[in-house]
Amino acid sequence: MKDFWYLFRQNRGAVLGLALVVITSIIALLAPVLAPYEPITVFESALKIPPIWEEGGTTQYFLGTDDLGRDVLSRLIYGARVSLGIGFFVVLFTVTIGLILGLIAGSFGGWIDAIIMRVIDILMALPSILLAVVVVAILGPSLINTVIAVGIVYLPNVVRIVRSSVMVEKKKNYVIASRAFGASWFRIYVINVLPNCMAPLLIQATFGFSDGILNAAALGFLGLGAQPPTPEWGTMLSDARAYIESTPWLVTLPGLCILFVVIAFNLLGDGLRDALDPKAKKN
Amino acid sequence: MALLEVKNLNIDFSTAHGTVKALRNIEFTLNQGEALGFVGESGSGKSVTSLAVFDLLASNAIVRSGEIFFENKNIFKMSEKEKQALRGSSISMIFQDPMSSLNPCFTVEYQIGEVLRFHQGLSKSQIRGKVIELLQQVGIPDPQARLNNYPHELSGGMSQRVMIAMAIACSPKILIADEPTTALDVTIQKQILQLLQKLRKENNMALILVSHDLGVIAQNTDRLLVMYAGEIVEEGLSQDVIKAPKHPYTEGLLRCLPGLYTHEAQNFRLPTITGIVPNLADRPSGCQLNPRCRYKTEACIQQDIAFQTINNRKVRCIHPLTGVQI
Repeated sequence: MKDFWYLFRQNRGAVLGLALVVITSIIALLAPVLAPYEPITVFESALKIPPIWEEGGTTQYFLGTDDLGRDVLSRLIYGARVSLGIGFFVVLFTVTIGLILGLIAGSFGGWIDAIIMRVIDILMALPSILLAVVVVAILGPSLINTVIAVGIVYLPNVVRIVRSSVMVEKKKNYVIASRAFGASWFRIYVINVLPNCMAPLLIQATFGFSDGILNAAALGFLGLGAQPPTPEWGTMLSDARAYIESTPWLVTLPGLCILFVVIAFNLLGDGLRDALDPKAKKN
Repeated sequence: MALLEVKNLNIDFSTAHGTVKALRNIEFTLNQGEALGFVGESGSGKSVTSLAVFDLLASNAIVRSGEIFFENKNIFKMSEKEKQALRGSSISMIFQDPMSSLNPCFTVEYQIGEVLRFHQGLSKSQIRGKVIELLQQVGIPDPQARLNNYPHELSGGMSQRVMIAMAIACSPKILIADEPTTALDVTIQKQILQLLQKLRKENNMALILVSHDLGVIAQNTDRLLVMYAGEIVEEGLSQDVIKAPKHPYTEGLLRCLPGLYTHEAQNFRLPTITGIVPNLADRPSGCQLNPRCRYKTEACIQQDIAFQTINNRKVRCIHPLTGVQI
């Protein structure tokens, strides 16, 4: 653990990423305390007020208001909740299902492996956003369905990572040794092998977070993700795109939020990879 | 009655290069408390035989024929559950490379404790006491301090001691040691072998010692099997075999040992057995050693060679050596 922290600290980008992730998480958790207004409160007298640094901005609405008179700052703060929540549940969904499928495919091999991996190949062959759109079209647009759709899109990465780690690990001597000590399938793979596969999975999960947020925002933008008035960043972008010329901040601000969070998670993921998996480090 | 009895065991491996006949007509018995050695070159079937004893072969292994009886129960007829109950409690094994045989993710206490937990169902506090006792038994100084060490914090000799502690945790009746000292340096090698002898005597445990090193086998076993190309070519009491080998292969192995002759001449070249081990997918006819044997005759090529008994020795050769003194 000490070594890990030492290696991780070497990478300034990763520390920055971690800091941004922590700050965003705190903002998301403390949204009701930090946000000046409710995200869905409509101020009819204050439509499209520009942010404070533009001409006509007021301290009352720090980042201005949107076309319906909702406070943008409050919506962005609550949006962090939604986006991080989506990221979290996407990772939870993919890691849970991906671990089970990858473990079964990697440990049993043979036709079980072939069936699981061919289905995964089919998922990978489809363009990710198209696949997500299809899933949402079947299930109907909502936040939960967004998580499922984005999760299915991301599933192949996790399954393949787990499967390949299991296949590498199962050839190692300690697996033969644990069979020789009378361990059952469950004990060998779930208790002994799985912890050894965690490092690449953790890295992949971090990237899954950013991928999930990005894909969910894309679905939101297409009107297939979170439905208004949910303050989701992608949906906010989509709502504001009609006013891109008159009120550019309405598009820019949620866009920047998405950008920062995704960059933060990617930096964190890179840092974790460098620290946990020195072999994969790019020279 | 023998503790372990292997009868007419034939095992093939199906590989990309065709079917490899890894073991042919393996037969041996092991008595309680006895130390039995398997010796032979790489690929002679020593490890396959020792893994077959508790049916731990890779999935591409095919058991063509044969039976293995442990305490009169046929291992091949047991259910997976019964075999799991047997492995690690009645029959245990230690491996060639101790560093990689321990799981890098868990502490010493956890790994030894795991065996105790699922075979004997001990509680947490009982396990700690027992683990400390085991570590003491295998000669690890200050066992208390080692409990929370991870395998990467241990030296090779220390790892092998931990493996041995795991293996003897449930007082097995048979301990199989597959080249237990090959990866260790010579001084540690001696200590580990002495430890195995001590544990064998204390627990009246049978030991199968697998090695390519005849010297190690000779010093540490009562009886030995010489294996070549998946067959047993010679069997006998270790001291007898070492002193007067009956099979040309055993003789060749003994001549290859350094130290016995090297002092005689200045420009002495260590003898080798000419040629290589036959391809097990494409075996020679007759005696498997015939392409490499300096005593071979026509008869050696034409017929399969039976395992014949001469006094208290067994040898798979139609021209067994007599009077060869090494």
